[in-house]
Amino acid sequence: MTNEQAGAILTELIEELEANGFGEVVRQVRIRLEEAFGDDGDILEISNRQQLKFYLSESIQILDSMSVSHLSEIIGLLNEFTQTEQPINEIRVALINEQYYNLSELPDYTAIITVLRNIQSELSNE
Amino acid sequence: MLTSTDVLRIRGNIASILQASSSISPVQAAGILPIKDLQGKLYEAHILATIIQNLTTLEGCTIKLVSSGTLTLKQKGSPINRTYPYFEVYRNRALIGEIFTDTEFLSLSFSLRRAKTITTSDYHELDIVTFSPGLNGRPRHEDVLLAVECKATSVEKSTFREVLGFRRELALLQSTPQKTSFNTWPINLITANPPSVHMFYSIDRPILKYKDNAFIYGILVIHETM
Repeated sequence: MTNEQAGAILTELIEELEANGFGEVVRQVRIRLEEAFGDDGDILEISNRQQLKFYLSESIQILDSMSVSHLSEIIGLLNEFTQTEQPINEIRVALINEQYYNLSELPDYTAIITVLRNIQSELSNE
Repeated sequence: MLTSTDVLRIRGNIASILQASSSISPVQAAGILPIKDLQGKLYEAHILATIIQNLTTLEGCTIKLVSSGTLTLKQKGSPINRTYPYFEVYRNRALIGEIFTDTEFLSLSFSLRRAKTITTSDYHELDIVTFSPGLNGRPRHEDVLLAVECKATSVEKSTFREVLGFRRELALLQSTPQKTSFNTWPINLITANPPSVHMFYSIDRPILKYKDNAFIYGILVIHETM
């Protein structure tokens, strides 16, 4: 993969994330990029290839942390290690307006993560 | 070596999946609560489960859930609220602590300034906290056995400064390690007085570069993914 090819894929990834409501992912990756490479003052010198690999791996992790896919495992762990007459069946958030948000309503980003992991795998040998 | 066709295919795959997912994007999903707050609550639930697992398997405690069914986390912290589910921690059948989420405690500075009235600067919220048993309202900093903060989003250097400030409101630095309320997990000796254990969990690996500095002040920094 040439640096130019990596740049084209990176630009596509960032622009499509931003255009489709995933700007929060881009914002969080940028903070991580600054933390990872900012100390040496060479953040502007990292190659497109490095940036693309970084964006892919961090975007996958961030999307994973926003996704509902872990919820059943969390509830299972809580019930496995607690004694109770009535097991936990759901987790909700009490909002300041006295309404509740059930975490089961969180989106499932498994499909996006799968596509990004496939691309990551394809590019790993490049 | 990638061909130009490969690059076009990869770009197409990225565009297709993100466009197809725009209806469930963070912007759409957030509603009245920002997505990073929801992300934080999911991570908090994960860390709560991890702590309960470790207290059971590594510390030998028994954990009982009180007011069960629906576990309720809170967008905004509050004093102890026993109408929501909470956890009792037993060792050898003796109740040694109670675990609450999103609950406030009265700070060390409040204690030192001996104020008669409480203002918002006198208390802080902990994501997950184990207090000595049987308390209500906002317990004092001396009543904190285990203070846990969870950070699901990317970590910046300012995050670490915030953690240090939090520790300052829980305990003073004590050069001689003090016995905590725990025998094995999370730790039995800590350089803090009172000897509360302060844990900072982050999903973001770079937090580990602050680990050794944090430990000086009795803060355990842990990188934990879901």
